Amino acid sequence: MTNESFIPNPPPRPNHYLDEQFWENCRNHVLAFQCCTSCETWRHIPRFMCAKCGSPDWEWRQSSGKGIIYSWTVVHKPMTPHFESIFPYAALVVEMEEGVRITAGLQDLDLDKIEMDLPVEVVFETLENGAVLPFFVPRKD
Amino acid sequence: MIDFRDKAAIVGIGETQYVRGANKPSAEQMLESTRIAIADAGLQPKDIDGIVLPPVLITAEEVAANLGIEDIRYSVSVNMGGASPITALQSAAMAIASGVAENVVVTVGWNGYSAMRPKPGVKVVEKISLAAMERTLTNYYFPYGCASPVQMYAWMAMRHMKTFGIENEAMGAVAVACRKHAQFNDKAINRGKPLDMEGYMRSRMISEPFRLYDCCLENDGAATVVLTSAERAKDLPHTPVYIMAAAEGHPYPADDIANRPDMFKIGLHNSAPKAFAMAGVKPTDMDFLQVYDCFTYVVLMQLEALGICEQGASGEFVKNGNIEIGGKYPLNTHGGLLAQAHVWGLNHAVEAVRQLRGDAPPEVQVPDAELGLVTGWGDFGDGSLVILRK
Ligand SMILES: [Zn+2]
Repeated sequence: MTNESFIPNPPPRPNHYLDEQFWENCRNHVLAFQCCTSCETWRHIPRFMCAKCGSPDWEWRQSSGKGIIYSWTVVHKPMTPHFESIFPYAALVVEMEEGVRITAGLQDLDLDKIEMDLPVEVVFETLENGAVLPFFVPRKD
Repeated sequence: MIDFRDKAAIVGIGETQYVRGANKPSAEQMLESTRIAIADAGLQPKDIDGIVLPPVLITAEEVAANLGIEDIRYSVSVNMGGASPITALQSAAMAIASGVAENVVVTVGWNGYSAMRPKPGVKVVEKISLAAMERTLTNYYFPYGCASPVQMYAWMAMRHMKTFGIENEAMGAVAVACRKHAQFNDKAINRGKPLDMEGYMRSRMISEPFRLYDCCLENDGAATVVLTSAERAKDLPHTPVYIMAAAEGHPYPADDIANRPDMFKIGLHNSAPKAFAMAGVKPTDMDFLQVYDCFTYVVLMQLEALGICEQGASGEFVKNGNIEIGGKYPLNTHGGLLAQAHVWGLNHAVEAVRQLRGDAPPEVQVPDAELGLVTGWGDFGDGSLVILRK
């Protein structure tokens, strides 16, 4: 008996259309989040309703792509085979200008230079598994 | 407020050996610790009429069929990851207080070593999946190489450390205290392997800020407690350990760490005030603290959430042996998940019962222990709390 079922596959595995649309936008190099069309509150991860006003009405809106590093970890011991070749690597939580936060990878910055509130902007990275993921790089402006 | 203070008591405890490679399905291990606990309570299997379980690996039906329980009056599974067993105590106490059931079993067990990840030379006897937060994990965390709690809790820990200037030595103090206590526990996997601060600081980095010795053990094993009504408890062999209060709490949103308005607010912030109010005691009244310790930093965050120290002050709190036996607040006197075993924290409840019965090994017995607490932590920061007295 094997236990491969526990080892997660690196590409995103959408549960339903909200996740599918988020990742479809990423494949087109668009970082978009849901915004409530009733009270204008942005949200992430994708949800069916606005937790603030209760409205089911929303639309995808493109993010400015700009944010700051809210938290992070630098992984020295990968738990998944895909990442065996690239560690150590950073996994960030980025707070976007729109107020939502997103988990993401990091590029173009030494791992020991990561700090809280560092301004970053989105780039899109195509992994060898085919996934197109938002990564962040230090902001140049 | 409706409460169930002192209406139910823990009267039986049972544990299997905690090992790396049990070579038995989880359900078989849970039945083993359950047999031990029912006998410890002075009850017969047919006396059991309530069963409260974690979300996976065994069902109430399976427990009943093995034990010969023909009439289950109350059964429920709790879905709070590692916080499930302590939340289960709340559920059991409520069932008993309401009269729905009288004698309730709470058990948990797993092959946390042999079934989680491939281990050289260890036979895999079953598959397990613990994806309670599956949608968030598979879509938004796994793709970035965050496949384990060590990486996700690191986001909370890193920001907390940087915000409050907590030093690595504070994490080390938790690891050292748990390891020290484990040296006296005959079921502890890390017995015979002492650890000092220097050894802690030398351990390799896993996912910053977590080193190897910030991470709990991986092992196979099971534990069970049996609860009954306060009336029935008086006639049973052991000193009853009364549930003064129990409460569950969830962070918001519970299914995504990144988007919490306040990343430092954990489930225990919600459960602790309710439990202390029901019990009518203060955090500082405790004779011991059994705090869920899947990672050292999770202990620091829970000490703050309990209100036993101010937010950001946990680093100072754990210094100078304050959480070691002989200190003011002995913590995880069995060694905890870090040094005894990982049994989803039900082993913390078992240890609390031993302390209140006065049955802990003399080196780690808190003198005249009368009052103590046990926390649970699970999934992305769920937090339950039970306050116990003798
Ligand atoms: Zn709204």
